[in-house]
Amino acid sequence: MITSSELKWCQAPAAFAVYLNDYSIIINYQNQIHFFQPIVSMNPIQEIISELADQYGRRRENLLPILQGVVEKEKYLSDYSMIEIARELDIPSAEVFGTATFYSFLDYKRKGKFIIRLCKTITCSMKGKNQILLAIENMLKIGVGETSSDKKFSLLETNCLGWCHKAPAMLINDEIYTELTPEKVREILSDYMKK
Amino acid sequence: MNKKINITINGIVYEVDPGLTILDAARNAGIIIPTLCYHKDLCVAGNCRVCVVEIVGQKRLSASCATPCQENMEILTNTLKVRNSRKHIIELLLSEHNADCTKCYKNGNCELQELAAEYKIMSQDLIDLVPLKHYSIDMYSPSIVKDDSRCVRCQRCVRTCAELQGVNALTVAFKGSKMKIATFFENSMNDVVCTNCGQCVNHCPTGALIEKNYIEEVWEAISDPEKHVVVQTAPAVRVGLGEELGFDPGVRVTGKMVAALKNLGFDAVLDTDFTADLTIMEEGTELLTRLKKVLVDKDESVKLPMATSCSPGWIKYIEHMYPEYLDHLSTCKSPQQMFGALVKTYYAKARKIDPEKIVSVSIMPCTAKKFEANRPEMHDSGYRDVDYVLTTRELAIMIKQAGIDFMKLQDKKFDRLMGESTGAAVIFGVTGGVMEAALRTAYEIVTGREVPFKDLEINPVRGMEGVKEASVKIENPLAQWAFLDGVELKCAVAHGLVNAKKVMDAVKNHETNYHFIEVMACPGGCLGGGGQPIPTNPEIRRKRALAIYAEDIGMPLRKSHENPEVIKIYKDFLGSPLGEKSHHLLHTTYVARNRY
Amino acid sequence: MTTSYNLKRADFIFRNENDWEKILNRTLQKEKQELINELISSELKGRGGAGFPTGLKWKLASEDPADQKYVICNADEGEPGTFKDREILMKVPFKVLSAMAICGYIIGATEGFIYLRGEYKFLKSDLEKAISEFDYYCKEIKFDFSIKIFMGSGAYICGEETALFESMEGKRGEPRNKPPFPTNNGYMGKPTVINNVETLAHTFTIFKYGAKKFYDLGVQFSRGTKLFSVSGDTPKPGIYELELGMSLHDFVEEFGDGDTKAVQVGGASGFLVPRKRFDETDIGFKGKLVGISLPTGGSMMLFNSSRSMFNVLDNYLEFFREESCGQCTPCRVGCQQLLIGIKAVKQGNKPATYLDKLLKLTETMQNTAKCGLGQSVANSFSSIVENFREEMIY
Repeated sequence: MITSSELKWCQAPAAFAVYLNDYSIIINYQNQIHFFQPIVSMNPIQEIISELADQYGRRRENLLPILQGVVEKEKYLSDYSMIEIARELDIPSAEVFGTATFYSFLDYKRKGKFIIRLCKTITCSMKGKNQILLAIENMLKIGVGETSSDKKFSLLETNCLGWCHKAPAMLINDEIYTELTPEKVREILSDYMKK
Repeated sequence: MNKKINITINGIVYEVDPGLTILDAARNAGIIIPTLCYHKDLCVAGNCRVCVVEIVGQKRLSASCATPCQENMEILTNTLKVRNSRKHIIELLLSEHNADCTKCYKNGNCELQELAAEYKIMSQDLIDLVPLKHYSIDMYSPSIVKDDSRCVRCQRCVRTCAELQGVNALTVAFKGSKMKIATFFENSMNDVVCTNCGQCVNHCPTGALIEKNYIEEVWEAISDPEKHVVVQTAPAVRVGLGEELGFDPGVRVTGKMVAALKNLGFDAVLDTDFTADLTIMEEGTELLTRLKKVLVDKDESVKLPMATSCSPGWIKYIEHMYPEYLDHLSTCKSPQQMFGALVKTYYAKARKIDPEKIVSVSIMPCTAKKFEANRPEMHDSGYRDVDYVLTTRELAIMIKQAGIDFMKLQDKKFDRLMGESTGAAVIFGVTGGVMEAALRTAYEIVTGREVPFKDLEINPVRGMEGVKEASVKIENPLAQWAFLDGVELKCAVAHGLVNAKKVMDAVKNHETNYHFIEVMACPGGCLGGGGQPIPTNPEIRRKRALAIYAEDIGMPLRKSHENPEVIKIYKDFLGSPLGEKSHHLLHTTYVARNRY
Repeated sequence: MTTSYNLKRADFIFRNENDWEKILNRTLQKEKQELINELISSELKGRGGAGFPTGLKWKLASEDPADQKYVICNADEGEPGTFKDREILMKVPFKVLSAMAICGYIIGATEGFIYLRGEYKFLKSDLEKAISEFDYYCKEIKFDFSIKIFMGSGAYICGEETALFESMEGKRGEPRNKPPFPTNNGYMGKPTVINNVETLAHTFTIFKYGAKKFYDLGVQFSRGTKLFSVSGDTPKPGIYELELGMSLHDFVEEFGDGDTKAVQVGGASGFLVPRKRFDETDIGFKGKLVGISLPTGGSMMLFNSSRSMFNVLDNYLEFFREESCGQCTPCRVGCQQLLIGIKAVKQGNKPATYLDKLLKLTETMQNTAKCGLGQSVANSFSSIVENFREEMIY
């Protein structure tokens, strides 16, 4: 049976509709038979990108918010999603790749659900970042640049987060955690493990 | 009326146009400031910092290619600070560069080498960064080899692929110490949207991007007594080859080229121009057939405008970018491929040689031809139609390796059977040439008269403008072509893929009513091809174009349909244009590819 | 020789902003030229680190005849040790928004952007609320100016003005050639005033209290107050608004932990001042540190005697090596050479004299790099190596 979303491109009111082998056959009230090309159903990433493009625009200056939007939903940019973005904006895929790889927060390798970004710049370094790192590594069993096998956590190091007076600091996705101690970190991570 | 400004360079006052860069002002004053990322064909980048100069009153040095002159600017190009800084920059470049020049393809023709030699970099104090970098080489493309260890990140290739060609196969990726020139997801150039045009190779100052060379394979074939090695040479080669062997740009070396090829040991030295004439016969007939089908029969399946199909870079471009317009392309193969198909059938039969033993080599100004020869459908002779494609540069290397003193060679002529050509064929090497040749023949077929241009020089299609238009009115045609009476044949010529895009977009948006378009992928046409001598710039290409037109006007025959060998091949072998045999050997199909 | 300047605290920036509507409205009634003169006579200089005279910047942009102009607030605070812009946006955002609107009025721009670094994403929703309140007020007083937030994605170099424009245009954040300058050719090729968050907050102070009030604070060449982000080996980490021109000696007296060995002034692209130089160093735009003016992003990181200056330098060079855009040779390769160079000297693979070669290299980087990042590496490198040479070797 035809769904109503597929019917939207049917011009004449339909008396009888059948979905057969990828084609829709509609017989309208005048008994005319129409064959319709199938609507290519968009796969999830295409839909996400199309919605983002609707929201931000389809020009080159809208590329960054769209990349950010995809990363927010998917946690990273696969080659497939970059090609779809290129298609949506009609820009070369190499340009999308070149732009995305410039920015540290636009990961192009698969990441976990929660991305931990631990600051490694001088003040956090002085205030015990290495102990925090050790605590995270021991608890999650992953090193810097790795993702846990249950795909829940990824551990990265990043540069100054702007919380030097409350060092050491880390981001988990967009949330900031400061004045860390190994114990505090363990608490925070166990909360996340429950999510 | 431009009010000039006064500037001082090294103590001498000059009057210059405001806005002129320091680099150009210095050049006009006879002062050469070294550059690396700067290129006449491209927009200014200002990233290598080699061209820095001192401006009095400013503590920091300025990049002369990116700084416009201002009133009363005092510029110093040769102070201790400038020289020491420049030396440092070169040392920095060398430290992240695989500086093992003896093993590099561009040894002897590398801009980084020149800089290092000029500044006498005799020792390296800095630490060699190459072992830490894990560079890789991409050798998968049949046309281009990308060696990251030789890259100086001048971004010329990126700018070329973006500005001149509009293909954007290469991009700058990552940042900081990881910054590099990459393709999409660092895939092989063979796997991304790349047209193989080789303009990146043409513009690369070092050995980071080079053509895939087949020199050793061809030497082996030549030395093999069992093999009959046939070579064909493209028209643009004869006006470019000289530059690699001691001549100035724009000197024609046709006779010497043939002599050299004979000296190298090729069994037959033949001319691609022969099949260029043949292409005109086939394509001209195809155009007239399409015109009849559209204008008289109203056949909707036949498409206009028809587009030329001799540029494999253009073919791959349209396959990627405008796959829905593939039926606009002429089904004719390029002259190279027609030649290849005929050499292992017609030529083999006439010379009574087993086609199995024929090795078909071509000398091309082009890197995309290497890809074209590799296309799976190019086997109509029953064998691989063209076995090896060598660029003009590779031929020069072979000539030098053979110890031939090129300048002293006596002119020789091409061999018979597939070596005769006309002026219309030789202009295939320049933008507008295919159009001009086609018009010379088509007009005469239709009206019985020569094209109404003095000396057959169809000027509207000549010149270096990106897109050129011409229209030729058909009046009083022969009875058979009466349907064309009064028709203004509208033609467009584009060179450089960025201009092909302009024309194709105009066609797509129904903004034009062209009947026939010629597209050459490379700026200037084949004479500016990816396999031509390096360096390239607008001035050099202009000189090569003048040489091609001089060659045309100096030929006894100027129209393709007058070529006696062409007449002979139809009589003895092919039958008629678009006939069954032609169709089998001389026509081809295309494949739609991904746009992104 | 000690300057007798004691630390003078002030409280203009974080003072409440409940009267922003009144100040905005009042200022928009004034003549544009009058406002420009006000800013110029205040001698306010950019607070992001570069110190360009703000009045002059707004004047140049207002003089450009282009039809479309932009105001951009640079909130890509990424300099190590700096965290004041975040506080301003969290605590007194309306001052910044009002300042942007006033700038738009003066130069003729109707669109403003806040380039907010990706690491501050948690600020976004509160800032958006402030902006919608602000938009509502602008509509009430029939003033055509709208502000949008543009999020960054983790790139320190995007704090450089032309790199920021590139980023907003959807490209890699690679700095452009200058000239042309942003006041003529900025975002989308149009005249743009781009100012640091704190600079805009100060303009609000000036429009509220008048230029003289601002001018009377601080010292010659360094008028007004500045927010200092204090961190490191200090019992009082935090943000402090102080008059410019103080001596570093007095600063350390107030903020040091009694064992201060060195202070990094201005973040990784600033200078490391050793204890013996505290007395002769002033904090301002014409600081007396070997005749070089100290950049004043306001980051002050204190190191006590337990800290290894080698580790400090190593940390900075690693930072630059990663964050450089990679475009120009001196910065891209230079940062790598410096980092690997000091490691080699420390490990004994290169002699101590190699440090002098590296110092010469930083000179070249300073002279030839395309943007401030490459040009500033020399600051910390030379100040650390020259003052703590033994720590680089042993």
